[in-house]
Amino acid sequence: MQLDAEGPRQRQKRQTREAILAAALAIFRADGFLAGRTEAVAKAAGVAHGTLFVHFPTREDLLVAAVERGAGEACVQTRLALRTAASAADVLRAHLAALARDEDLFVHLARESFALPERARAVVIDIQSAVSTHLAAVLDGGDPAFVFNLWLGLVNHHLQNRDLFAPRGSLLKLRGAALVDGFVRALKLT
Amino acid sequence: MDVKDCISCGMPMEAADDFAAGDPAKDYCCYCARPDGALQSYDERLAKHAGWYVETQGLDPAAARAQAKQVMAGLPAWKGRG
Repeated sequence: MQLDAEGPRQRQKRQTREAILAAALAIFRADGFLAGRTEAVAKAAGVAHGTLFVHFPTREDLLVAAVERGAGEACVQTRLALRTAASAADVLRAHLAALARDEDLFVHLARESFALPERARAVVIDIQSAVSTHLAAVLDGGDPAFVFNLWLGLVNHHLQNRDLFAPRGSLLKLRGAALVDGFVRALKLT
Repeated sequence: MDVKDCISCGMPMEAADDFAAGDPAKDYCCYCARPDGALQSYDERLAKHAGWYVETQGLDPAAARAQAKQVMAGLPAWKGRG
């Protein structure tokens, strides 16, 4: 982005778009991707409902942008941890640390990914393959995709049912270490 | 070095050897480049990206290809394709 060449109108346009995106993430964290309403997003962003659609022509465009932003920011913060991971436990801890940065959002992604627009779902699939690649790099043979899918199933089961596993706080803070330790021990991973 | 995302696959490029031909001036990564450093074609990238989903998550090949098309359509090098 060339901020130096940005005029006042472009700056205002960018700031309004960012405000809508931030408001959308807040609404989706609270209400979910499917139940979150564009009227609530516009109100939270302080813009008219019609203005939202100037920046995001369809609700699907807004959903995709929110998933890309929310999931993308969580991943950016864990790149270095994943790059220096020396064991399966390191990779799994880094994965959970990424999810913990925006746990409410990932709870809704785990519950609703089947019903998301194809493009938003594809973003989630893409990020999963990145984590799986890091896991494969530290596994000693076997079937890394199968191991990753087992792990993802375990994590998503806990996220989807967070109200049962951690009704009063962060699931990943409460149970993250136990999930990693239990998984590594059960599969005898190093 | 500033982190750049590959315009073709989205991979963050942090070290010189992440870039095509080891050249940080390039906008695409070593995995999206041909041996001579040129960007691979859309069809080459689609096949490799879909193959990555099959290899890392065990997806059905046709489903993997559909997912890869969705992701590539949002990347700067392939906007409007697919």
